[in-house]
Amino acid sequence: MEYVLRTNVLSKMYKKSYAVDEVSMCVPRGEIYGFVGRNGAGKTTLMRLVCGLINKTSGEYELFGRKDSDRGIAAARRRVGAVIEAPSLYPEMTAWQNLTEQCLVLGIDPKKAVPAALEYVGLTDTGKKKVRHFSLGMRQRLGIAVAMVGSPDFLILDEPTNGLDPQGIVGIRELLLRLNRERGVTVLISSHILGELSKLATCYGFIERGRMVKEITAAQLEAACRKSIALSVSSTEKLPYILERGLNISDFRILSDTEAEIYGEVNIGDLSMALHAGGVRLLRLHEKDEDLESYFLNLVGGED
Amino acid sequence: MLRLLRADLYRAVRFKPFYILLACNAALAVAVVCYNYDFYRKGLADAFDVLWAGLGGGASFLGILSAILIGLFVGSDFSGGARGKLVVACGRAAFYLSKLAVGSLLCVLVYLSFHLFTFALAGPWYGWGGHTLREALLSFAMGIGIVLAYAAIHTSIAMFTRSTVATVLAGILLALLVLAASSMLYSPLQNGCIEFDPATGGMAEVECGWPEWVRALARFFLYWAPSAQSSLFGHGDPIPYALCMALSASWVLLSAVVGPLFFRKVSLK
Repeated sequence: MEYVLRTNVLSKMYKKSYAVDEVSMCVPRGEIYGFVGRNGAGKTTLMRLVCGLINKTSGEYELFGRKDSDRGIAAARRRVGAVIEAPSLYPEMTAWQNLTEQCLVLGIDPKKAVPAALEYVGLTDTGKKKVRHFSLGMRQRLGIAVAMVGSPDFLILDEPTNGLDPQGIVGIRELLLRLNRERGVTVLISSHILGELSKLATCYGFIERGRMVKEITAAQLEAACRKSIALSVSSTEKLPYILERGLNISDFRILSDTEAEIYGEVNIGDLSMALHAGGVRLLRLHEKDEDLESYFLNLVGGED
Repeated sequence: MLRLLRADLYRAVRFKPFYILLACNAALAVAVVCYNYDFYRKGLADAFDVLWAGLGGGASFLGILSAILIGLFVGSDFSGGARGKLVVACGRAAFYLSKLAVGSLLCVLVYLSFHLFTFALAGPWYGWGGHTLREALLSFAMGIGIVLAYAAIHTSIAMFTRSTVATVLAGILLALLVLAASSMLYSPLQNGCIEFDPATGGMAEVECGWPEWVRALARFFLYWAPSAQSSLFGHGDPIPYALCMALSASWVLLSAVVGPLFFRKVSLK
């Protein structure tokens, strides 16, 4: 398999703590890699390292097969487009001028590239409007346009849907899916909106406290996501005893005096009879599939 | 690097503060010409006085202008599209040198906007008095050296701090401090020190008692620091033009060589 980005025990230390701690990850070509982690987990720092905006403390990475210590890394970075935190735009210039600026840096003809980029992100009618008058959604789209105007093979996007309304989020999602589908662009995207990410990503990397916890494909994630049964009962006081002794079920969670969740496969008939025998009335029951959010929370242990 | 230069020039042409400073310096030139009219009528001023005013006039005004221009141009890049450029650009050194080149060009153009009026207005109107045209042109050329030295210093500050405010404040502070220091150094070197004379019971001028190495260091400072160079014109003594221009060039060389080495270590967030 060909990889666009590979990191090998990459680390970045600030003062005495590691923001990125020996992270080894692989972003396969043509995939949309969802980078998942809490605030301060190290996602943005890692993206900055790969983009060359900050210097590493130790370890290495390869971009399109070029090591970061190679002289050819600059040529590899020219195939990258990035939006790290806020879009990198000049507020006093128009959308056209911002894109022209980037075209000049890349050495491409702005006359063809700029209109195409503006059309792709739906900003053709901004005219002479300066970027400082743009809405947040427009700035995010222009930021992506600036990142992709040079037809990069790899897009690095750090929370591109931050602050957007639902329509804006859908717009960004559709744009990225189009880029991936039509142009084969590999995308590394981080986001807090895990539900949105799950509609986009084809593989995931989970980072916690600077360390890579797990890398998994979307297919593996689906297989791993646990089914559960949510119960509403008259009282959960005797429920643990009934489940453990009566049904040999140990994987469950008591949520409140009347609510509980049981994980894994459960015979509903046996459950109902056991509860009845134990004097617990079953009020309500429904099946749940674990989503990306609950998978992530279970992986990193929830809030501290 | 050529691509970065083109991009920076594209932005420079659309950089409004540049045109504002250009106009301000040109307006200042007209004001200085008008201000000197009365002195000219009394035979106390000529075009050379206007030329000197355009070099900072002993107030390091050129240095302050340069700090503002470079601070705004480079600082606004870091709060704008610099990150996007750095990801795909040819490297940190090229990025730094492009800013140095374009920033220097902008500063020289602002400098020229003043002297357009020096040579086109004051020269024909007031004449050059006891100064030769050669002297005027050498002074003008030395001024370009001063401007380039200022641009080099302020570009270095701007690239390390990535802040408009820090660059402008540092530039203003440096210009004024150096100006004050040069005044304190020049007088004892050229005119001696004023000390109490017990023989007469009053104050007398005596030769400066500094050791030769201190004098040499002081002279070097006066010729090397751009603000100090511009203040030399106000004293009326012969000016070592070639030496001053060479020392101005050393600032540019220092910034161009050392600046990128340090900029490579800077984290851009």
